[in-house]
Amino acid sequence: MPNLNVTDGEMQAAARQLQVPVIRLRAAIAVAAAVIVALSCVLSGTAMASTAPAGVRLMPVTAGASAWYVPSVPVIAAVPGCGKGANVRKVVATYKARKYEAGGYRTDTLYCGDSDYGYRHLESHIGQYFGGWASFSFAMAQTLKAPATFVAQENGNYKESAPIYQCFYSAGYYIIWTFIVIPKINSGAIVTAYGTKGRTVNESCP
Amino acid sequence: MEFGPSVLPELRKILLSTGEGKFYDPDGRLTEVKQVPFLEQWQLSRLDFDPDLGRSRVVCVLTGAGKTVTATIDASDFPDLRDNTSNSPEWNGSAYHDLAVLLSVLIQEQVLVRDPADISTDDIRIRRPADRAKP
Repeated sequence: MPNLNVTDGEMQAAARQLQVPVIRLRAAIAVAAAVIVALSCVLSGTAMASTAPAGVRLMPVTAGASAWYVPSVPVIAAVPGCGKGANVRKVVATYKARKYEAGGYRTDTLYCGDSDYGYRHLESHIGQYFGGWASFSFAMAQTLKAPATFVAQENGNYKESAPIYQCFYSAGYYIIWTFIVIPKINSGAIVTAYGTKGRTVNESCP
Repeated sequence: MEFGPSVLPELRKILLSTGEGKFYDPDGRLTEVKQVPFLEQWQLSRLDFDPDLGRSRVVCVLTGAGKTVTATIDASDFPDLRDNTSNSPEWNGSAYHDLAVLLSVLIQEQVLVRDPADISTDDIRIRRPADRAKP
């Protein structure tokens, strides 16, 4: 499988070349040995990916079966309302999150927050992860629901991570990210999240 | 503007800690439980106040895969937390004070989670993002 390391700048350049106005996102879960979560992105049209409209629909595809994924909030807004004046405790989104100690799930919450936690803290990472807020939020949801690694840290936070596949079907390649979400252990308030180590594979998405 | 004395021992304790990590296979089955170092693939070579600037700057030197990164933390970038005496329940659920916890998160996201080979600079200034909530 040929691999090609690319920089954020190169990915942004590729995005500009695609010039797509409408994004439809699909996710695939567990398709290869090391793959737990996959996010696929179908791009078509004439505007930038970062302008994904509100109401974008997200769909995970498991091996052989598919179902529409509905996030905890009814609609993922293209841009959350965390501008000046929005309360730090305003809820941006809630996520179904695997429990660390026991089976089942809990609810983790992303607040607007401030420069130390929440949406306002992680906002600068959204641009590093191609696809805008809708893709970023979807990657957070998948990572919290099915983490590949789940570490209880000394600083009171969990560190959860999962591989995320971002697929560009029309262009015939995909990017593998390690997506990380850091929620607070005792409350589930999300401190930060980011995608790291993006790697481009010049093959159709698995 | 200077840091309080507790920031170094608290930050050192967090950075050198290990946490229980659980690993799952693609079907969501638990496959392994083991201790995971907070520093992961990095090692802490030095954590101290700057020899010239004293308590106004913390210098954190990390090495990994032959790469050495010097992370500097200026007290002037953390005016509200520099004393390291506060504990905000909104985002700090630990036994440590806010500054040490925040610095551990910032060092993690700006250095530790990155592959050493992908870091192009030897010096990183650890800062919090701009607070867009403030006018």
